[in-house]
Amino acid sequence: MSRPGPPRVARWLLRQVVPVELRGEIEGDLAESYARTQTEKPLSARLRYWREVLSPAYLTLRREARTMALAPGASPNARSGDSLVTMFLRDLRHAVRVLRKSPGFTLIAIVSLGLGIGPNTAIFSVVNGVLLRGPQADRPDRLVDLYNQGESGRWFYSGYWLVERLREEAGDVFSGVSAWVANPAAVEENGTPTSILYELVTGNYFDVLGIAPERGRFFLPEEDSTLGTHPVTVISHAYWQSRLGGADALGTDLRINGRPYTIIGIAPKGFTGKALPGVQTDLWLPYHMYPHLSPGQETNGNLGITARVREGVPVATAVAAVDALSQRIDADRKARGSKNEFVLGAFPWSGMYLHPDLDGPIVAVAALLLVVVGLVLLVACINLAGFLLARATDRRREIAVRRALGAGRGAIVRQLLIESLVLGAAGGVVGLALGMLTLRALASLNMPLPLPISLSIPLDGSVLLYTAGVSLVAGLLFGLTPALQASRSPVSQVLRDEGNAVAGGRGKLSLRNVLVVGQVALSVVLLVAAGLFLRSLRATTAIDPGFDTGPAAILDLNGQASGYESGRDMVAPIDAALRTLAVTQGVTGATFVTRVPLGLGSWVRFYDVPGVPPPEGRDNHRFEYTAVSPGYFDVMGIPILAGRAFVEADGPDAPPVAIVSRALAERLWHGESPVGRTLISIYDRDNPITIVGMADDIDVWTLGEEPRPYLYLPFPQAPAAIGAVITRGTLRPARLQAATRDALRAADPNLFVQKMSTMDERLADTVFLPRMAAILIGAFAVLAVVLSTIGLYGVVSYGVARRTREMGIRMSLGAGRGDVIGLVVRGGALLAVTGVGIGILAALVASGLLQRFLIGVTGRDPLTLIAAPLFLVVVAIVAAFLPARRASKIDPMVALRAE
Amino acid sequence: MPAPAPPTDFEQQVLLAVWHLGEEAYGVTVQDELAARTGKSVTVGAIYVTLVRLEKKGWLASALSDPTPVRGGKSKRFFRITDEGIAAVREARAAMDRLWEGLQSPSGTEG
Repeated sequence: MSRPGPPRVARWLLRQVVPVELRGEIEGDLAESYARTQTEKPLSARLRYWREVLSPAYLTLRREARTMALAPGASPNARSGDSLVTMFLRDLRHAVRVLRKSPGFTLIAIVSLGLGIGPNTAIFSVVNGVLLRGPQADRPDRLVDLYNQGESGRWFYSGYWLVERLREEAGDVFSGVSAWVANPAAVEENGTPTSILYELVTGNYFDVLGIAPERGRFFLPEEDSTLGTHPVTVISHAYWQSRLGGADALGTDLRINGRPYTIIGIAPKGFTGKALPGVQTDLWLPYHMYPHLSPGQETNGNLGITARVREGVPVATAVAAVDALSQRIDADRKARGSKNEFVLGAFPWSGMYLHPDLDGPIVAVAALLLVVVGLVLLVACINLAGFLLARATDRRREIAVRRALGAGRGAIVRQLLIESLVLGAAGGVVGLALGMLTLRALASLNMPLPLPISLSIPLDGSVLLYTAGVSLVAGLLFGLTPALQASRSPVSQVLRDEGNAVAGGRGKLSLRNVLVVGQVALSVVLLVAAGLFLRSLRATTAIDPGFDTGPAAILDLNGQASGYESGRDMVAPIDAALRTLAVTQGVTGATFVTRVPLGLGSWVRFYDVPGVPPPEGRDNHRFEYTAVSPGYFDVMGIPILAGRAFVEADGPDAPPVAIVSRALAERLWHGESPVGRTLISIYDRDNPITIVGMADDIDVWTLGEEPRPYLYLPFPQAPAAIGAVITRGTLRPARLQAATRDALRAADPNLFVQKMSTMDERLADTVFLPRMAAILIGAFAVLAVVLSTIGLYGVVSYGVARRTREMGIRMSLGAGRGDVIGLVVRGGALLAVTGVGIGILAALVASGLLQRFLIGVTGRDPLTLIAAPLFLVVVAIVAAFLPARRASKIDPMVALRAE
Repeated sequence: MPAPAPPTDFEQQVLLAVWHLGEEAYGVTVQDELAARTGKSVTVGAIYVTLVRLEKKGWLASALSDPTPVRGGKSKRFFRITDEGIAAVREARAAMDRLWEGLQSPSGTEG
């Protein structure tokens, strides 16, 4: 039959709603009526069909059909029963009715479930946004990233020469080799420069990823083949929408680092760039524009490389080809007399999340957070299981009556399960809302990065699916046990038990006790974890980094964004600004440094040291260094242990000098004085550098690191286009910042201040991860404690309510209020102590697993292991005391008459 | 068996439509007949509710036909009015007529 039939979904739905006795004829009638209008007015035929299917009359018809005398011709087994859908709908209606009858219970259940689901949604969103969102590329299984292995065994970015070499020598396995690097730049918006994040990419970057533009086009080959000739840019969908208002932007100019770039294309919605997952890249610029964007940096090996494996070539073959090329390059270098090992590795996207070195720790943190929020959800579920058990006990008569009237066990279980699924779904909705709020709070946190970034953590299908899944599992998890329990009680016994509510409740009450014990135990584990992270944070912040952490203003400068050709252009304005600050009221000291300490990294240079051979397998010594203005050691409070600090006379044309850190002097000369010795830069062998001083060690990368060998050079002799001015004084930080900014403006109005911060903020940034961990896990632990306190309170007050008669008898026999309170509190405390005991054992196991995340505190930290459980016991006793006091106020006469 | 309650308005309409249609009364034709004569569009489901009720009261009888391809291979359920059905609509009409007897609209012309 060529004619299309009625809409499939509608037809299916019709079969569900029409009573089975009349199914054939009604389906036939509607099909006939549809067929009549379909050829001429297909749309109205469909609409009419839908209207017929959705008619409420079928509900009435089902009732009518039940008592219908079967007419001749009907199939004998026509009345085989209800379809699943109608059964489900009936249960659903019943469930909603039952839940609406006890709004208090329903509200508490939904809110506590929402509190359990919310953190899960938030954390999953982050994990999803950073790790799981799926590669933003076409056929990602055909892509590989390439990294160079450094001395330390870690994998680093490469240089452009390698991109060219791969294109020449691995063209048979790769159809495209692209490179990318993320950098900050200044874009002029309404006349004021604003920091943005761009990716400098090779012209084939989008082709290799297999991405099509939303509007316009991506780069042409000729736009990325000659240095500095094609100022064009592709903008992100988000930038287009938020900054340009979604207007027709193609062909217009953006002023980037002071130079106009023509917008040629808009990236598709949701594409955030390759370099930084979970962070929105604003612009993409052709690699060959680097002389303008990052002058003097072309030799730095800072490019990420992504290549697409040629069609028909197995990825493993491409990986092997890269290995072979790596060995060839290594052999070439060794043949030229180099001792440096060269290792290039190819990492298929299919086996990697972000980066070979980062995957391990990031996945570990993600797993930790997911486990923690999973435990919170478990506590919430146990709470509800407890509530439902209590309810099931109260509803035993209702259930027994229904069973006596012929309802099967399956029907009862199904009904109760649907009730809990309805709760689960409602909790899921609340959880989703809470999760989104949490996420907003997380995204607004200040990230420890040198420029403001926007997190790109979308609420996408997988987050919704995850929340729905979690809600469903939660519904089943806390619904199943009570449902099975309730359906199991023997009917006759329950019906006989009327008037003696205490007797039958024992079993359920003890199961509830087990649940509460479990809850308390889980809370102890979470609380101990939170305590450990808190202690770790305190231990971290207590570390002395070796420099003065007193108040200071720190202004990050970007000479590249100011249009400077090279670092040398920075020297004069910095000098002028520091001179101004030196005579500014309220400023006690100001200095400039190319890398502020605790910056999670450093720059390196290569040197020969007369009399000291380079490390095994290396051609030269590799020193981490920073360039500083005179006065740096003074302003930063770093003691000079020998020799002198830098002075004004150490200018660009003066004899080259350097200062070594104590650890560097120790490594090179083993305790002998370094002053007067020389270093020879491999970039300038004719001018040996004289060491004029030795500075005490400071923490360069992170707080609490091993003393790191470090080299200081005078800024005029090792200029760079970026760095920071650090100012101290008697002014408040905001005033200090303003004074510094004014001095810089006076020196050069174009000098771009990328970020203004204070020493305190910098220090807070360096403990960003420990602080986040402590805040998040602490918050989740508190949530778990609140939930289990509610659970404990519920169990104890339920027990009190059921034992009203017993209390009455005890009191009429002479028991005092104190006795009753003691009795009840003892019961609650017993549960809590049992839970705490189990929890401490579990926490001991868990804290071993946490050790890798902790700094300056052991997983067996006695203070935490004592304080956290103690806190819980106290909370538990309070939770038990409230219902106990109520019990003690019972009037014995009233209590005896009760029930 | 006690006498069933008199047919409602809609039941009367359906009974009359079936009577009109004679041998050709099934869901779709009844729907069309009602639409043509009363101008009301009623869903097949609603019509079936009434058809089933009327059959239970003995005013209609039904039988299944052979399946036809235009209906997706489904049968038709043909309804016909029974003698009791005819009696019931007649009685309903007579009751109405008795009520109408002797009435005039306020303006004096026959309403």
